[in-house]
Amino acid sequence: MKRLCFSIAAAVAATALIALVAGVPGSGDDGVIRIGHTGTPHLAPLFVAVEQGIFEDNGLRVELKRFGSTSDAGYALLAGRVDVAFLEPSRSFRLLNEHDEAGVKIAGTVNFDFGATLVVREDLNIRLGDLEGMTVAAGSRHCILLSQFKHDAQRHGVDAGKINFVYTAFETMLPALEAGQVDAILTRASYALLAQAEGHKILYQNWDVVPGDACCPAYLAQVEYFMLVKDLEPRYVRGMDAALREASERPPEDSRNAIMKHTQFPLGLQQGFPVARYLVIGQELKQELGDWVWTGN
Amino acid sequence: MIEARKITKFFPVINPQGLAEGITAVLSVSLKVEEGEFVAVVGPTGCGKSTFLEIMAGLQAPTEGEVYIDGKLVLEPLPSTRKEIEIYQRKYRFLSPIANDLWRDIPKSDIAMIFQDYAVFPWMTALENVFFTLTLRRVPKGERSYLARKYLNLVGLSGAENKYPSQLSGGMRQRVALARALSVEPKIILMDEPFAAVDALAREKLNEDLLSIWQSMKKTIVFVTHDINEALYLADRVVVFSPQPGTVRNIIPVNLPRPRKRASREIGELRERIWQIYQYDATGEIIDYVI
Amino acid sequence: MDRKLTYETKGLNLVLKELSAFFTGIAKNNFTVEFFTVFVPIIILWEALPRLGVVPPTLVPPPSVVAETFWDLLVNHDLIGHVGISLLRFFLGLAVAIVTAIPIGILMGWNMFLRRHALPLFQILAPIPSPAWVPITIILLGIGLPMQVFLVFLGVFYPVLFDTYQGVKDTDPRYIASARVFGASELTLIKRVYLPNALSFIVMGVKIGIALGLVMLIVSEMVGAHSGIGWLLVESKDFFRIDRMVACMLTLGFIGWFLIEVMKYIEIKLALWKVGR
Repeated sequence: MKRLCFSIAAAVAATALIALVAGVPGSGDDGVIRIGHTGTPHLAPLFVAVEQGIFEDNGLRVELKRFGSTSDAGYALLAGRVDVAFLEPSRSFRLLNEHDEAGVKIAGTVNFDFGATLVVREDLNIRLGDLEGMTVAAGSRHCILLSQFKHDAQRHGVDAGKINFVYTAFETMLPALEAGQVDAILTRASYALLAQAEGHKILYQNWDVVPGDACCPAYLAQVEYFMLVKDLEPRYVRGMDAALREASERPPEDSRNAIMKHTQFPLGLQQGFPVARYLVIGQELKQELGDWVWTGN
Repeated sequence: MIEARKITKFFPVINPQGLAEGITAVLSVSLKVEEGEFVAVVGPTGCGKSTFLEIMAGLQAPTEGEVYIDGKLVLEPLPSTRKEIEIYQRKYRFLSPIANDLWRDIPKSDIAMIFQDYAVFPWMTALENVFFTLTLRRVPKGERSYLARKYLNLVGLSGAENKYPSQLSGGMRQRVALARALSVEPKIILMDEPFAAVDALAREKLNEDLLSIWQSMKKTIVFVTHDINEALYLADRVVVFSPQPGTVRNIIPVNLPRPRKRASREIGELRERIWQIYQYDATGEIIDYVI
Repeated sequence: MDRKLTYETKGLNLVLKELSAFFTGIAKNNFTVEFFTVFVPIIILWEALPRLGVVPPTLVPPPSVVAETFWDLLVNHDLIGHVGISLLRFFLGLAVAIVTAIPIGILMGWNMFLRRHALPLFQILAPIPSPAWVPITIILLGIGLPMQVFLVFLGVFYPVLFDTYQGVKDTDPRYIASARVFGASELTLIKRVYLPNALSFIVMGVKIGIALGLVMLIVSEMVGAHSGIGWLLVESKDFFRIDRMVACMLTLGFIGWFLIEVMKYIEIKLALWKVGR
């Protein structure tokens, strides 16, 4: 009898614990949309919309919740603690792959201009010609950024064949540069912006890159973030969409001020870079993503 | 032969008011113990008789006075002036003055000591406890087992060799201590209330066994106890200590043939005499007569 | 009586005998009826609640799913390898800590002069929570085995050091006196008196050290490693694999529990003389 009592006590305790762990708070019942973000300058439309009251103009009340990493924001979305979260494509795909029954959908994209950029480590004071013999990280052997750079280097009389290229994912380039494992990185403009903020120097930049190869497929190349939604009423999703599109139309200076206000990212560093823009999902991307795209049902 | 000359021991202490004061534990005690003699030291609790014994064993440095074993100085006295203290502290920075050596065991065959409790190591079996001293004496490995068993048999512990002290009774533990002391083949055995924690019946048996070992092996024994009966039953001479500071109040020879009877008239008289010294020291009243 | 037997058993037989005694002891002490009274209902509920949809199964993977994931990790993702590399880092750190902390602790407990010089330093350093050392360790040692080993070392070092010191310092002076009367050198005193007396303290310190060392292992692998169970844990988090996270957590829990059981067994073996008390 006593043993049974203990069993029941344990069961009650376990139930309470599991319920506590998985406790799902009511989602947006009070009409406030909770948005998970990571405070990066690449989310300019979001900050502009907040700063200039565009959400209110579209009849939305929003609450920004900042997370340390996009995976944290992803978990918050899964657990129902935010209604909208901005995640980079790779993480979004992982989340959607693993939790396809959780009802998470892609409702929009935040894009950043492509721009082949070469960033050298802060302690190096060199010119393009000095790169020969140094180690440079690039996305992949067949990356469009690399071929563009090699082409441009040739024009400046630099033999790109004498540069040691190592191939790694964009996300790992900045840590490698910080650790001194490479002397320079050849990357997209969005990463170059972050690298520059760490004190590294931009040596070369070409905005005339046309994406579209195996390494950077055209429909995905310029996507920095997906806007993921879960259990959000369609009118709110449409409102978000409208507000962010409107925010993307505002002058770049407004965006830069909003970014500085929300992320403490200095204005000076943003000069010379375009700002991120919110876009609806294009036809090609919609085909590629299939079921994952939010359709309003 | 062991000789203590004018031993004084002074402990500085800080009293609850934060002032430095001192306790004189032993005051100018001289004692000479002849070869093969059995001397008992009695005195009220806290009279400094244990401190005196530890000074004789070289475990504490005296504040003043010297101890000679067969004419050899045991331990230098403590420094008294500030300058001497500094030199002393620098000298013994890494090694305490009572330490033997840092690396090398220096087995002592002149002296052995048995404590009231904590005498044997609880993490060693009876056999290992005796091995400990045999190893110090550098007895070859092959002979150790034989020798250790010999000493354990001598004190009546055959069969308990592989038991830990915690598995033995208090009396048996003291027997292990005795076996360990005998195993260094000392000339002098100092015993500090060895049987105080043993029940009365076992103590009487231990007393008799100790006597027979003493008689057969011709050791010199200095035996500290607070039990007057035990002292009178065992010793050739009984040294009576006064209460603190400990001084030699009297030395009473016990010229009685052995085996003695505990309840005999002579012992009774001697006990009465010591008892009255105690009484006088404690209350200052003369009961009958005072020596 | 047991002791006599161990004296006579040798080699492989001895190893087998000790092993069987160890595992019988574990089974007897842990898997009791009382344990199952609490454990079984928890498992049943954990399985049932997500399956019935009371809690979302994506957030709370039931034990059956975790078991499947565990098997998958074992077969397809080299879990053994990750556990192995983690244990290598852990045992290196543990060994370095034990080899340094015990002698320092003994020296501090043994000699007043050394104690006065060393103890304040350690007393100031010890309260710094070990994870606070992570950034500076990465700067000094970079990312790799030395850094992970050092962090584990930091977790283990102080508990072992202070427990050793305490155990040696608290040795009853009468044991020391009785050994000194026989002419024992300080080395003999340390080997035969201080150390056996402090042994149970040391084992206690190592037990605490194991718990803290495991914490530091995971911390170090989370920030600077590309293998190991801690890395697998953060990697699983990055990939939104909650089931893998739970499997990793349970593996870690098992490792910690097992190591503590080993220490308990060693403690009983070493402190055989205390059993009778």
